Amino acid sequence: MSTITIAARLRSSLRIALAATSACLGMGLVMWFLVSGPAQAVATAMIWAGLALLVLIPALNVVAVLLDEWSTRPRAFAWAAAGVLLLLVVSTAYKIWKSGFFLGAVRL
Amino acid sequence: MLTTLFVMLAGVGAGSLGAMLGLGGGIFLVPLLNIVLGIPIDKAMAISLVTVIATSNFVSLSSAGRKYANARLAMVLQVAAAVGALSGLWILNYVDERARELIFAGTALLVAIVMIARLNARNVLDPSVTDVGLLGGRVEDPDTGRLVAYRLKRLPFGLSVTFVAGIISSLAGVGGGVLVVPALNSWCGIPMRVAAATSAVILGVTAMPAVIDYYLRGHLTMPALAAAAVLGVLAGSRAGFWISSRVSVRALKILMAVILAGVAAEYFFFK
Repeated sequence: MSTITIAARLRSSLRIALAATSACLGMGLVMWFLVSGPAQAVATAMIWAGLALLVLIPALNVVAVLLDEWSTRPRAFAWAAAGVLLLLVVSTAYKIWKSGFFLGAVRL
Repeated sequence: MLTTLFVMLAGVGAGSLGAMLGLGGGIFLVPLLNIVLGIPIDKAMAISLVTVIATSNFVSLSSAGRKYANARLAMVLQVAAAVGALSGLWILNYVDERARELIFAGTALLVAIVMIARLNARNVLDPSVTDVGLLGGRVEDPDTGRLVAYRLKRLPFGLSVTFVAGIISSLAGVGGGVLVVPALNSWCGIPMRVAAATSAVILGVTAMPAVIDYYLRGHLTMPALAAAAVLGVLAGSRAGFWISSRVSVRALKILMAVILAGVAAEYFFFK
């Protein structure tokens, strides 16, 4: 399978993911107002799942651009996308490390 | 319940402007959440950043957005924006907050003046032009209903502005769209709608680590309000594209200049 095909499939999946995000957030929000007690935890979980998916989409979109551009020569734009991805990973990892998130997990 | 509905409506407004003008919407949403609803500034900024990602996702993935967004240009400029954002975190330790606000306000005012001065300038080439360069493209112009070509000019200037926008997004806590869109349009030869869509794509990627940072610092604590804002923004983005294809570029430029002047006034006089 060529990288362009993978990129096209990834992009279709991301479109489905964006629709799933709206569905998760919409259903979670409706449940949040209609239910109470333990069921509200389900509503909260649905909203967090929707938000997590939403935040992940831009990074996956950069991966799709990287795969798209990999088949073209010269690969300057593929390297630019790879650079963006690297900066994204490094800055996110740095923020997680600085927050002591993993230290907290180890303590637990 | 009423607050949630209000936030959703505010999201519709921010999403419309985000899709039309390539702004993150933080400039409108943050004061609204903070001043009108009394939500602490850090929590308001966290919700706003999530909505920036929502607009960006819509622009990157919808057929309406992909028609205008230039993915190659976005990737090249994104490198400068990311390096700028990281530099901004370092500069943050040395520049006083008021000085940062005044620099931002002065820049916004300058850009508004340039935008008005170049109101009638169109960045489109004859459609018969064959070489649009590596970062140019062709796009349908709703003003004329014809396919037009455009070519990127002054790439180093575009990279510099995006780098500065990255710094400002770290220093002032707003997206860099207010600088990137006018700069790409006024100096780099990119048509207004392409500049707006490309800027929206860039902002989403820049906002991603920031949202994670806000979450880890415990500022993203209102999931229901964030969900309402995101749903509003997704609906607003759709409306923004619909409006954008029906109003002239001149009207979009005037709207952008008015918003920039308003932002400058807010930072000069009300902060």
